[in-house]
Amino acid sequence: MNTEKTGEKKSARLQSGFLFTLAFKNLTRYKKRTAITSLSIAVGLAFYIFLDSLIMGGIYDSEKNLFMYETGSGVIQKDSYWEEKDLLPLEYSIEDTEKITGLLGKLEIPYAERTYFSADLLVYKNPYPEDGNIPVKVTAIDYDNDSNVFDILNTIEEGRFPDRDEEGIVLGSWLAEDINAEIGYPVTLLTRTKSGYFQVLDLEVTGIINTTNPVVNRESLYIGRDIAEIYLEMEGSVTDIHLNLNGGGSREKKISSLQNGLEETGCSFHTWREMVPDFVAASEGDKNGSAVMVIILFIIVAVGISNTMLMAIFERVREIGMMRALGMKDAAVMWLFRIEAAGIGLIGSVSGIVLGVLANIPLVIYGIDYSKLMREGNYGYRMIGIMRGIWHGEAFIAAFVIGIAFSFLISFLPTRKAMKKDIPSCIHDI
Amino acid sequence: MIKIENLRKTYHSGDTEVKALNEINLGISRGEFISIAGPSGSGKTTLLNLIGCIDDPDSGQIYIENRSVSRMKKNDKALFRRENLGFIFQSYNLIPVLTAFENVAFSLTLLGMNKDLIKREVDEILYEVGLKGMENRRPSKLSGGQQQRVAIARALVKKPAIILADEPTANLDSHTGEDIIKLMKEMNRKHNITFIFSTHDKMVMDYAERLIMLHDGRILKDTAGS
Repeated sequence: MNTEKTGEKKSARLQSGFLFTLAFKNLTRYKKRTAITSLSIAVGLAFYIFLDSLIMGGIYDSEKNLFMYETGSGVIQKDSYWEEKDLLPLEYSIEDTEKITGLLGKLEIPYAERTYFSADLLVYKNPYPEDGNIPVKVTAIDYDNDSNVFDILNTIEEGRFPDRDEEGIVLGSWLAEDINAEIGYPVTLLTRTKSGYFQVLDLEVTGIINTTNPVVNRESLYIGRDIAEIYLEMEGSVTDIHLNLNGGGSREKKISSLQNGLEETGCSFHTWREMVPDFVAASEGDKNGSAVMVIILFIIVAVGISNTMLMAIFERVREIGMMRALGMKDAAVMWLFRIEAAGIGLIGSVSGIVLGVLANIPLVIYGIDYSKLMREGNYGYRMIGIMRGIWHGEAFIAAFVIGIAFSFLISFLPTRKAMKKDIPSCIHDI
Repeated sequence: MIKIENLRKTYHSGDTEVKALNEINLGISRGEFISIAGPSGSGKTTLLNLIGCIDDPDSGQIYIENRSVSRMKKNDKALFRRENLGFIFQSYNLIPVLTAFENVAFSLTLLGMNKDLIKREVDEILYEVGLKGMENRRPSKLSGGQQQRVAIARALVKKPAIILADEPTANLDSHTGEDIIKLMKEMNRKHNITFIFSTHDKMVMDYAERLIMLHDGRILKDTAGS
């Protein structure tokens, strides 16, 4: 009995070697068909790699630009402020900032204090071409700690940031271009103070910044925190304390300690992802969209593989009958075709990765120029001009595995079909 | 060696019922060289398929080497065929991407034989069937007669108890067909393997030591012992 089992095992081992050899030879038997099916898989996988590179590149650049100019790693806000954050309600600003900054100092977390407020930007004819007003979101930055988190102070294209007590303002480059503002031009901000009284700030444009973040360039205005304190009655309070959690130590540990420390302050920490739902929605939407496209591509590939395997099976019915008659088990015959399908998948995967790399090289080096599109409107992504791809190793591995596994799995159905015919019918091909 | 008892097989084609084999009783000894003859539809191929364990009877029993094969499970039948039976087909049924050597070696690979032994056995059998020097040729580079010799070598190489051949000369010209049947006869004598083959060809029948004539699924004549 044991000898029989050992013999059977040995036979199975030898058979598997034979199956691989025969499968490989059969792939060369239908060169054109193998090439066409492999090519369809290759194109599908290359497209997947290209699309993934583009989306992941966009996400990578956007996350970098969000961190550097808008969000940092996250923000501490009053819970009441967070609930109405879209209205930028100054009355819910953090008053006891020292308690929180003290905690951050203890935890060695760098921070930047900012106050955001809404205003109407008023400009008048002469020096501007015409009178006008637009609603804007203004950021008051603390020169002492803004660079702990953000890079905004290093993005001056023209002019400078105003001094602490100077009634000056810095504009995003696209905003300045849209309203035809230049250095030295006056602007008026009509807003409300923390107490709710109307306030008018007459300021002079001292600088224009140009960042790699389209939202900052299109919508942002910056003044000093000291000016905001005076005109908005902030009295030491700020609306946001942004954090930089990229330093040493465990990020999760820091957040956990922070959240414990924030208990009973009425404030909470919110991650950068919670702060930018527009970007999260856009990136998730694109990921889902690309997944749908990939699924459609794979359906096409599945039809190709099924068709190829069915043709191979129907053309080799007699051969299948002969192998079964000579004592090859049905399972072994099915494995032969599955190995062939996986072989087509392997050729397709390798070719797909080569094609994907070739398509990705110009995408990584030169990118695609989206500047006009990004200039026109906000699409959630925070990148300017050129959208570059990245080398996303996971996508290559996924493409390789999917190409082989998918082909292998798809072949199950046709091979099972092949075994439904009895041996005499196969031999006589009836 | 082979004992067949009350074998019946019926095929259904729409509403029509065709009795391919009807109450067949037969005994075959080791080393016999048997021709099964009869007109088309007489049941020759069905009988070969049933002895070859590639089809199931409706009723009756087939014993090969005292083992009842007619009720074996599918995988057991595959193993039984692998070890005990050889097949020669009318249209050779060689694997076109394999060489003559590899086609013959296929039978031994299924048995789990090691490479050195396979090489020795295959070389020997290819020499015996007159294909020395053609080991590396693919079927497309061989004539019909040579391809059938490869098929004979493939059936012989594992030294089975029985070789079943369904019209082995039907696709060959008469001269080549005669060569093939002579080769089969020679191998039958040399290796004491039972050969059972079906044919329409009178010349081929003449080489048989025993002739079983079938008609409408029944044995019309059996020259056993005559």
